[in-house]
Amino acid sequence: MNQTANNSINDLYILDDDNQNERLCGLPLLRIPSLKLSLQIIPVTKIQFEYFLCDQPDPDFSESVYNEMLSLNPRISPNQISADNYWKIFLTGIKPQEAQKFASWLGDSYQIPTKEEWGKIYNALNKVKDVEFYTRILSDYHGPERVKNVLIKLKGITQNSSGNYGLTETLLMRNGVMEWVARPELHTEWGGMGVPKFHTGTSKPEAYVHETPRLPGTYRFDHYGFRLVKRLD
Amino acid sequence: MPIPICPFCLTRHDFGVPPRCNSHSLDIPQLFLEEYDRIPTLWLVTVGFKEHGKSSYIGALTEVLENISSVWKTSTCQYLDEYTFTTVKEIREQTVMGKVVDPTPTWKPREQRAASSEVVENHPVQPLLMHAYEIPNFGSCCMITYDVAGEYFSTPNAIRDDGYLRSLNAVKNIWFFVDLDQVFKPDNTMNVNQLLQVYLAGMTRMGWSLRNRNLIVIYTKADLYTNNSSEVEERHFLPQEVCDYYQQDPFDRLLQARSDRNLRKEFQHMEFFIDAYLSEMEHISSLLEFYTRDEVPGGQDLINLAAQKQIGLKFCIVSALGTKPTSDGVLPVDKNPHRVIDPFLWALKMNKGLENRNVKLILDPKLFTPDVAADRFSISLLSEFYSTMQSFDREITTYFIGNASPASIAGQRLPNHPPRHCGGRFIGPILDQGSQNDIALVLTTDEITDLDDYRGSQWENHMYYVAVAEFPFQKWKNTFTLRSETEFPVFVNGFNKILQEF
Repeated sequence: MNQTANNSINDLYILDDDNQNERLCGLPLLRIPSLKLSLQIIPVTKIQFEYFLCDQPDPDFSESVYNEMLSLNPRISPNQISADNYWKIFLTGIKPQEAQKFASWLGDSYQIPTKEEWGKIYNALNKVKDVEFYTRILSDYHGPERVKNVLIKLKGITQNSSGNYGLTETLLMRNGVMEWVARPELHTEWGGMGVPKFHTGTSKPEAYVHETPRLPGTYRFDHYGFRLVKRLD
Repeated sequence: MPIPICPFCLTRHDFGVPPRCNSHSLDIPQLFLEEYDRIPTLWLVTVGFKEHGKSSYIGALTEVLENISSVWKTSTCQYLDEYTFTTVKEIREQTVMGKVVDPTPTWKPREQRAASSEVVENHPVQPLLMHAYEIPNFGSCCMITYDVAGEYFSTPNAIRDDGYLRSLNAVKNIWFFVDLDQVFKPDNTMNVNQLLQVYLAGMTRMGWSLRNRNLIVIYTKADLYTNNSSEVEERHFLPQEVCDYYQQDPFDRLLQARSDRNLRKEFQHMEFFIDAYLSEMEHISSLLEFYTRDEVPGGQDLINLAAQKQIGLKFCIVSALGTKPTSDGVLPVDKNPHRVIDPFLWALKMNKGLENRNVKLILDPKLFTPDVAADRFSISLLSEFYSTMQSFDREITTYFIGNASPASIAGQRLPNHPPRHCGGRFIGPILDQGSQNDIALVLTTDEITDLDDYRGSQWENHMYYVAVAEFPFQKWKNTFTLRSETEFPVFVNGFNKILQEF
């Protein structure tokens, strides 16, 4: 295991199953004590979102609404994941208000991170390397088999990436999807952070992109997904 | 919580307050219901000719289980009803007095014997109900044991559908008692294979499937075949390794230590390693299988017939008394049982492969719309099919595609309408809840979004996909296309066979 000097991995983060919250589909949270929050280790997957759809069927999330999302970024099965399509396992095309409904379902303290929180997390994890990250998760995994397959595939893909960006690459904050963030300081409430695989060519490869999309509550964006944080007291 | 299978009539029904099986006029033990969800059932039946030691064995086993905490500190047992307690006490009293146990009555429960000698027709065999808690490797179990009278195995026509044995279809674990002393007698007319044939003929006559039953052959009164008794011909002696195994029973010695101070000291640091014990049991079973094939009359045929019928077969030896009673049924010395735990451990081990194979019936909500129902499908036919499936001793839980909450649980009726909202065409949140042993049956009128997620998984063999349409929408290993209502019986027959064989 590689790590930054003067910092042990356990000081930086702890894997946390949120008291065996079954709605996490076996995916642990990454707790960062210094930031007083936990975050989902990967962006929300379509499989996780389908659990939500099937658990609390809601007329606001009709079959046609979900099909609209899928038309922007088609669904693949865990068996089909490869380096050329893995972002299709994540849910995109979702509006931030819809993501908030998912967050409420997951538990009271789950929220879309603020832009500031997302940036702090990125900076905290960017220079930390942990090549055993997925191995450790898989060794203690108790969730559905197909989600385990997702982790196995992502383990292979992230191990083969450049490795220059530490855990931000492992957790797909880079090379994942654009992630919704809250921007309470602006009149426009929502923004996006990330270095999505969909859109390459950012001028500063060491930095993440932040954007403020137009009318986020109205349009669906094919590269916009989300991951949630759980704020700790 | 699923509605339990009644231990008396083996159907699921409302038990009422206080809980009762009205069809058999018997009270259901409260503890059986309370712990049904937590403690898996172990259904057992004793099969054997008259006076081959079935009841004596049950007496010895219950005594071992009552004292089991002296071997495994956290293990214990509990009788669930008065009938079991009284029956066991009765058997035990007879053995304590040094007498062999009276044979099991054929016509009515033991407790009613004294009250009347009248034969009660159609009275079912009443099981002994007992919880065994915290058995290492196996956990807790609810033993439901039917001690069937030996008369029922006297001729191939003796097993008949007269009500006495009607409930035994669901019992998959068979304790097959063979008294070698009787089998080797020159004037004996029934060999071990004939006993199996009687049992199988009875099962076939009653229309019960033979597959997936476990036969545990228990050679009783083994003391006679492990000593150099002059009464036994030398060629009938058990292999030396089996004799040594019989004599050196650590389990019995640990139990004896409970009442023997010197033994207690000797054994205070001794641990009972169940994995090693089970391995040894397996080895002894193999040796006894050779012995059966070479020495026991009808043995080779029994082994062949069991293989032919795909019946799991294991062998063990026990002695419930450890000594031969005199001609007037009195024990000349104190009883000294040996290897009594083995048939129980075999039953637990073999039952592991049978338990928890439940059915998830996953329905497309669109099946309930008038156009589909009128065209290809009928809900009344589905209800009929649902009732048939319930007779296979499976917990059937019904779901609708896109809704992870069960629409009906085991014992309830098939829902007559789908939920108001379903969250899409997904089955994953339903399948992911299941055990690896479950079977899923999906009836769908359209594509299922997440079906591909399960290719290469255990569901590829355990999930049956019924496309209610002209052509299947997706490829799946086990697919049936239901084009019209007239094809439904073909599908039902096919699936019932699958359920029988699973």
